[in-house]
Amino acid sequence: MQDETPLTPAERELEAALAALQPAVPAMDRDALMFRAGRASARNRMLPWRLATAALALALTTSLAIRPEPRTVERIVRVPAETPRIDSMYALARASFPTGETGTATQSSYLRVRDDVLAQGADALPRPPVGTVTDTEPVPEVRRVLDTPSQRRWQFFGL
Amino acid sequence: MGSIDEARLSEWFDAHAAALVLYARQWAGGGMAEDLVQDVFVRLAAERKAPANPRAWLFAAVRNAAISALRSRKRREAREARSAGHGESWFRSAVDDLMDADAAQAALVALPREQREPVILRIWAELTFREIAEIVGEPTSTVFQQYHEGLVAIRQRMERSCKTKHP
Repeated sequence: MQDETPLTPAERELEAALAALQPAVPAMDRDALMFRAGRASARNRMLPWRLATAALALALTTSLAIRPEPRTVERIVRVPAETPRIDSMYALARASFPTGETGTATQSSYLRVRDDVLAQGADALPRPPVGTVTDTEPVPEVRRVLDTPSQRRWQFFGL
Repeated sequence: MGSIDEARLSEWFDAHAAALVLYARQWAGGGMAEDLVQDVFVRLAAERKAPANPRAWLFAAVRNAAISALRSRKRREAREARSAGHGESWFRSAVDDLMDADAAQAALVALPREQREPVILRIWAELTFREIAEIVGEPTSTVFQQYHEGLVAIRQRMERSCKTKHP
């Protein structure tokens, strides 16, 4: 570019004479300057972390300030019924039998029936009360109830 | 370009501090030039990345800092007139100098700032005309023209000075 200066020899000589002059030594404390420069450099390196911390603090404060109320969610929850314990089942069965003369549970008919069944078998079970379905109505023939083809065959032969 | 460590900063300080102060003395005297240059080095240390051309960066930063420090045009002109060459020696005097340091300083002070700036940046900062043009915000041809006119003015003044001393 213009760095190849088209100067006259006299001007080049003047240029060289001026360039030979050394600028005066500045009255500056070099160590103090390096100290200041080091601090500035360190401060600059810390700046991103400071900004990040400030941003996080601001976000946290904002989220705390405008935190919404907790939502109430209504749900139907099915809880399984508690299974009755065996003791309570036993008590329930015992209560269903009429009590004996003494009126105590130990002398109830239930216990007597149980003892009889244990001693004599199922025949010791009390007969069902009169007037039930089994006494008044005949037991229907199984084949008739089922209306199976075999029965129709026998009917075909007049049986 | 990596970050700036102390060694590089120290190297640049040793290489350019004197010329930077000489350049800053166009606007600021009485110790203000040194303060400006120190502030510029501190700013450079705080930069995340080293500039591509540290020397041009430093001189541009000194120029901007000096102009910012002297906001008022009147204050700047008054300070320039007051600080330009009065009381402070711009150059070290040496026996083998081809030119008298005080005479050179007087010749530089007498130049208008538009001519003085390119002369200082070209001769003592050793910047190219393109770099000078970027710093002062003028076309390269204008900068070269101002530089040439500055040299001519200095030579005429020096010749007059020689004739006065040796009639």
